[in-house]
Amino acid sequence: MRAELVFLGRRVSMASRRRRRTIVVSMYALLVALLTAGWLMDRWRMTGVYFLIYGALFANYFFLGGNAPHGLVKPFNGKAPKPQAIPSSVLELKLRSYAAMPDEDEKNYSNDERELEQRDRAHYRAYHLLATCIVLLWAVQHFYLYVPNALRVLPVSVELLVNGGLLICMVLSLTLPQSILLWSEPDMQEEQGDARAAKGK
Amino acid sequence: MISERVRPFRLSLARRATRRWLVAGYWIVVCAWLGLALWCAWDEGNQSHTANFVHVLWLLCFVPPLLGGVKHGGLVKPYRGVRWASLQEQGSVSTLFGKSDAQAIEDALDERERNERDRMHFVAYTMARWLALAMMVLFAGLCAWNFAWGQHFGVVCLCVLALVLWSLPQSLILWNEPDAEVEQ
Repeated sequence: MRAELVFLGRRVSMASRRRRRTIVVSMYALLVALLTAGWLMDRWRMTGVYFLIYGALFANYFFLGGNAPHGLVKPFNGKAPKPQAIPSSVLELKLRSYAAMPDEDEKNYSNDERELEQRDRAHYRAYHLLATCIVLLWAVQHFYLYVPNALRVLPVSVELLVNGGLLICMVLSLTLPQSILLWSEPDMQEEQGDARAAKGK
Repeated sequence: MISERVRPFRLSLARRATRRWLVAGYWIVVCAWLGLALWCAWDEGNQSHTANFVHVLWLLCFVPPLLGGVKHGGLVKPYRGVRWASLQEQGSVSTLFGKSDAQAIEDALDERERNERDRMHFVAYTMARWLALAMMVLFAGLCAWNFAWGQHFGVVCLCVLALVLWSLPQSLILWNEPDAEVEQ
């Protein structure tokens, strides 16, 4: 995991776990706000995809990483980012979110053994949550086919409920492993301090 | 990672080739069953949603546990070990509401197995995400072409996704784990 985030041309230290947790909470709060806005606008028919999925991709690209070369979490696949001397898009140029210099240092994108273990553990945890959600959604949908009248007491239609649930699952599938990593990784200074203390002994 | 007590059809699971045949058989049976459910759902004159529901519920509740992992007693050891309170002091006796200590110890994963379990979940996660994306594109295309077909396909998509999510990591573990004899 990287210790700093480059955003709007500024390097922000993310060594403290508290800051990383703040980012995770803020991101999900923003996504919930988008979810609410989408519901109020058109019941997620179009805004669901445009707000939520693009919102999750945006968060991945700029903050979380994992599936993108930028962000706090190193790429899960361990591949080096493509050489990019000049920012490819106007948005990147305007936001100054691109890497300040070409990333030639392998440790900035390649995961060591401990990081690979943490990556896999985070995916294991996320996997089970998502699998349970999908089975629950399937059960609701099939129950609705079986007994259509039984779910009329719900304030929303079952199609909308399943649609919203699937959207949330998709957003979680894009962001959850990274969020688990950012949430659970300890403070980096403390780790470095412990390492120094161990060396001193 | 592979349970040593379970011997399906009296076959030893020590050899990888045997496990691969079993995994292939499992997915053939699941695909056949799903095809049947899909055919029932597709036949609009039949309106047999009840039969469809029961078929797929049976698939989801009883078929993935055959592979183990999520549940005790399958080919793969339980991911989280046995959590029931131990009721027996000795022996490998299983009771209705508890497992013996010996069984719990045997089913506990060591560090290598835990790492393997996590790695396979990472691979399965990546594969399932691509599958979900492909299904979403297909679903959108079908809805644009014929909305009724799209609705039917949506139900089947969720079912397929649920089955894949509950079975894929175990299948990958069984497929990739090397021969036990070679390890020894």
